[in-house]
Amino acid sequence: MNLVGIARRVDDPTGNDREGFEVVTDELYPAAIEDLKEAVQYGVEPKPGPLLNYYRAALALSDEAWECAVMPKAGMAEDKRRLRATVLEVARLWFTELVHETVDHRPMYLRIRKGSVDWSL
Amino acid sequence: MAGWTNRGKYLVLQGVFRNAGLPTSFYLALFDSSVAPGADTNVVSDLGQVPAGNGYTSGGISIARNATDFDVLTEDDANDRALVQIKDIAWTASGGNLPGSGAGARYAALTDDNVTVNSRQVVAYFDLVSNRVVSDTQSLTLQNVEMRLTE
Repeated sequence: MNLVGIARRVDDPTGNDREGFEVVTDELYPAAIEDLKEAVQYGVEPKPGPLLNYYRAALALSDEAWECAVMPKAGMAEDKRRLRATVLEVARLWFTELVHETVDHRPMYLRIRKGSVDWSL
Repeated sequence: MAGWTNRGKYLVLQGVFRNAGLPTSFYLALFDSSVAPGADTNVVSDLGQVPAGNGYTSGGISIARNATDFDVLTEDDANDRALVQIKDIAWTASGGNLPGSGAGARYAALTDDNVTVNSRQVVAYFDLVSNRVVSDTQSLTLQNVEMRLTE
């Protein structure tokens, strides 16, 4: 999966020449969660660095956490909301780092726009 | 556990709206587990900084107020927040373990650059989860340390 392909290039709104990207939550979270799950499932361990940290965090997630991550937050019990939030944060960080790698870790701006689904923590 | 101190929030508001009080640079320093940082932490002397030596300089490592050192800015509409990441920061042990004594580094904190290290104001703090000690020639690296700004 070309996860970083879902990020669109935009200008840095502050005019500071950061590498700018934009992504909509409706694309970000399903794709990033799936990408991370596949990496864990197939044992595709990144080289040492932030991605390895996120990969290891994903390894530690329970099946329940992965299930909660793709369920609507509304009406969810607090303990399941926390599991869901953990997965969403790891997925966001995974995606952000992958995008940052594409610009060789130059200064970067990322805008995460709301979609039609509530992907808030 | 990570967060802003109230002092840090005050400094940001003062800097943005009064254009005053912002340091030339920040520092990322290491602290032991003797005192857990929190929202009410004000200055470095409120915490237990790890001892200087073996690759650790009192006050920590300087972080420039620029896009190179604060290298990722995120505007998150889904969660009504903004986030900033710090570039990877590493301490390399030299001449022995780092820290050179004690149980290890349990916390890191972002501070201002007061010339008197113990008087440096703590802006934000980060929990390293367990006491960290690295042996001679090994590195303790903090990667993608992230600060989150919400209402």
